[in-house]
Amino acid sequence: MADPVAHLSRHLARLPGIGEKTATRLAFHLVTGPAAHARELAAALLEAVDATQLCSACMNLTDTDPCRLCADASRDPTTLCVVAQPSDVMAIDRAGQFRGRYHVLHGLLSPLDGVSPDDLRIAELVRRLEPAGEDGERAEVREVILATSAGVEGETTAMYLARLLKPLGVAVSRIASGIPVGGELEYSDQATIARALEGRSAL
Amino acid sequence: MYVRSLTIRDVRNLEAVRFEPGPRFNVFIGENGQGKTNLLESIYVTCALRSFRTSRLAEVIRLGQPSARVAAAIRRGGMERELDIVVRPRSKIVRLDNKAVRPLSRYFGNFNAVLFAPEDLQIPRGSPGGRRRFLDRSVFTWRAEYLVDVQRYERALRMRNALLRDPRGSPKQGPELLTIYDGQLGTLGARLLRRRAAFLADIAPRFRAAFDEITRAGLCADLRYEPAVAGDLHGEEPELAQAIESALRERRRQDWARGTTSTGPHRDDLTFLLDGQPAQRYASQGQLRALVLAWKTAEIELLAGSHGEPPVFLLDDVSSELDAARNAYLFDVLAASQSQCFITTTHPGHVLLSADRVDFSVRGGAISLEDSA
Ligand SMILES: Nc1ncnc2c1ncn2[C@@H]1O[C@H](COP(=O)(O)OP(=O)(O)OP(=O)(O)O)[C@@H](O)[C@H]1O
Ligand SMILES: [Mg+2]
Ligand SMILES: [Zn+2]
Repeated sequence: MADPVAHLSRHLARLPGIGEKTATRLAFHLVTGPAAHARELAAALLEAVDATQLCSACMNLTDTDPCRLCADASRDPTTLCVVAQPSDVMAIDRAGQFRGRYHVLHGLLSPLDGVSPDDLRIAELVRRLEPAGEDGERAEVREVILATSAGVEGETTAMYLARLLKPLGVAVSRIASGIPVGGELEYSDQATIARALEGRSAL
Repeated sequence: MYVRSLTIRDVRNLEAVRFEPGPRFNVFIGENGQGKTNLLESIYVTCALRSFRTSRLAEVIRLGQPSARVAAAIRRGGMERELDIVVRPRSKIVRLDNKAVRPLSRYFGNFNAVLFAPEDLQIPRGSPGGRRRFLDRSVFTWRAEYLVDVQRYERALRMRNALLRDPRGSPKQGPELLTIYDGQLGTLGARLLRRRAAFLADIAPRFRAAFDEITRAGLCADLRYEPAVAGDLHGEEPELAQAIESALRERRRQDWARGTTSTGPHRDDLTFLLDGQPAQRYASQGQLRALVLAWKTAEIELLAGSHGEPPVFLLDDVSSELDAARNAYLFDVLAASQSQCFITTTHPGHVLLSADRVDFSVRGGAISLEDSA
């Protein structure tokens, strides 16, 4: 295999869900196809990467700051829903039940995978709950809903956050285990997510 | 319930196997190393999504192949379900009636199989870990949800151990996290204990009766669960959880130093007793075997009563390890059960079954109907 192609396929193989074989196939496909296509792909990739950032409030992926969800004045600023991944925001919002704001942790606590509290967007969450600040949102939050999955990592993260946040004077609740054990929000249907939020309990 | 058809691809030396077993006795005859145990392992994987031989399921993938697959059509109560498992090096894909199953906890209970392998005969004298796995396997077949509890407990345990061993030194939130894991291991551990205790209470009378029938020597056999954390196994779950959590908290200093979790249900043991004495020190070889045979007999009886339909029985060449009388007893038990059985042997003469049987030969990873000469 020519070197630049090998180089390309090594990069592709780093993507989630792509094995070495697929990476090689994709690499060959790209270099043997029309050069214009490859250039368009490269440009689209760069554009998406450059335009996408983390919302400075909720840490969700966005192309505007604050993101559309944070900027939407019709959403309830007193309730925060804490999730692991941007895809969870999408799943919960699709269910339509929740009309508050979000906070994305970008992961779950897992010593096994070397993920400690400092690796998550926890400091940013705490900052949103601290009383008084020039910007209005801060003191407004009254309830934090922990919507992490029901697996060991999700439970651990929820318990850790509950112990950290309760002393700050906010109500902390946990979604009901309508999401089956080990289940992930991403794969749950809308009715299940709605029920899990509805049936949340105080921690 | 029974397996109506079975398809195996690239499981160990089974390259491409497809056959329809009979509803009662299926006897697999082959020399050593031909693939008999691999076949039972394949069937077991469709039941438990793990192997009984290794904790790394990916080891079953045939060398040089990207994946392994087992698919089975299971008949149960007039319905047929399609189970399909693909094992990849770092993942598995599980389908039920052609739909991906998520979460996997939804999968268990559709198909139950009891395994009896020659290694089991050494259980009373073997390692405590081996006994725990033996017990857990039985509890899972009895109550399928149990496996989910076990997996959660194991995961929380691995998390706690990883925290204790963190090469970067523990994060400053270490003690805080440890407190959370202690609580989780308490809650999950109490659930494991309660299920193990309930299972043992159910199986014990049958076990004692079966041992008496097998040996007819007036000796009495019994089982004693030995928890690492003292507590009333039949008491309230929250109290048990509290006891485990406190025990973990007390061991904290020592656990940090040793980098491992030194107490909890993962350190429990099950002692087989013979006339009140621990069998591992007291029993003869023949008595040890009789104890395990009694356990498996009791397990078959227990499941026949508690599940709507008897589970499938996987018998891996145990006969060569039993004397003639005990082997005869085993086949009497099987004949009296309603279970579909998969029986492997190197010596067809050991298989004491005349009716309702289909014979297969296993050669170099291929399985074919034996010509009925
Ligand atoms: N991952 C693997 N890929 C290919 N072959 C494998 C793999 N793992 C094991 N084998 C082969 O499987 C064979 C063993 O099969 P198995 O354990 O089913 O034998 P068996 O018929 O039960 O023999 P015995 O009567 O000695 O118990 C061996 O030849 C071994 O080399
Ligand atoms: Mg074998
Ligand atoms: Zn935002």
